[in-house]
Amino acid sequence: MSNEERLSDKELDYLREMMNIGAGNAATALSQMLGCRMKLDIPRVHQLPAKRVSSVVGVNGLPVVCVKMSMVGDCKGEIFFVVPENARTELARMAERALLGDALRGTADTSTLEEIGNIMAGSYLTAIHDFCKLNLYHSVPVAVIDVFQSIIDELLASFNLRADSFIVIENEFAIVIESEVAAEERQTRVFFILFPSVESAKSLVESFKNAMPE
Amino acid sequence: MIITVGMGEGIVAAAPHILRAIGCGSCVILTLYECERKVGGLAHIMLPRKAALARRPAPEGEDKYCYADTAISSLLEQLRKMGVLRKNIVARMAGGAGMFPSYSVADAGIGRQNIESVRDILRREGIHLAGWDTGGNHGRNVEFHLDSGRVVVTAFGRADREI
Repeated sequence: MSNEERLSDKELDYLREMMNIGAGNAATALSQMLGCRMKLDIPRVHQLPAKRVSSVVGVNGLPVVCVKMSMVGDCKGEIFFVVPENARTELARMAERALLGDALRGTADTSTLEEIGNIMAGSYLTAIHDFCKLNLYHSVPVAVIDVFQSIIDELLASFNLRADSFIVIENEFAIVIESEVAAEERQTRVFFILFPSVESAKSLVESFKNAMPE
Repeated sequence: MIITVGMGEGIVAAAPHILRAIGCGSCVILTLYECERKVGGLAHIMLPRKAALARRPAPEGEDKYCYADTAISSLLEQLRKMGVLRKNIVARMAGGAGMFPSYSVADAGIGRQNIESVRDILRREGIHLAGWDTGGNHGRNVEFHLDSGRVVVTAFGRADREI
């Protein structure tokens, strides 16, 4: 493959910085929706062959609820909001109790998670838009429950199989669930993953560079 | 020993090994088996044919198991070199799901295209397709036992199934 398709380490750093802005915004939204504290990791940006993608994402091998949206506008790609299957009911109930209230009562857990994914994608992309002046939108969310690797293989197959320049942006949020009975807390990890197309990753980096103060 | 075959990979081996492929959505897992010698091959196929859907196909050889046509000819060639007669080979396949609902009627989805491509090629090559578990909207794992030729399909939230 040609070298100009690959991002340099410096460009990957820019991308990480940029996604950190989005992740911060999305974490605030998630925290408000669920009415709980949130711990946020620095986004992980991987550049690797499509075939190796599922081995680096932290949910490998486990059943998950996966909310898929497409990113459209100045940058194209796919967005996935991923919740471990065993946490879906708890998170849905938390959302019902917190900000979203009665509006969601009685809907299926997956619908609630679709809505959460929708709002997170909105706040994530808005932060990037505000900083970089890129027009970014996302499509209507669709949720499926299965093993993550099975869910993304169609996406991977449609990408350039030869290149080792596939970009994965992995944001991990730890939802802190405080127990009512004991003074202990648990954490549930959820993921917000972006797969920009190779061309879009380049233009994301360019717009970030332009937006940075001299 | 259990050998895990990743996306776009393929392998030919003999008993008592078990070949395994996990997390297969739209991909198709194809197994070829010859019971006399207890040898077989497994390919974790991603696309229906070379250069049809891949925007820029890889250099020759590197990605031969990614595509149904090159994967099948490669497995057959390796089995032939081991002295296996084509008429004794039995094929089974699993996968080819459509994980997300498609909004386009015209687009059959990669999963469906993979299934049809594998079926067509097997028919053309004169290989008997003995069992399959394909389509639907769920992922699958496959275990291929080379001592018996058994192919077991497991899926999240479903009973195990031998094909």
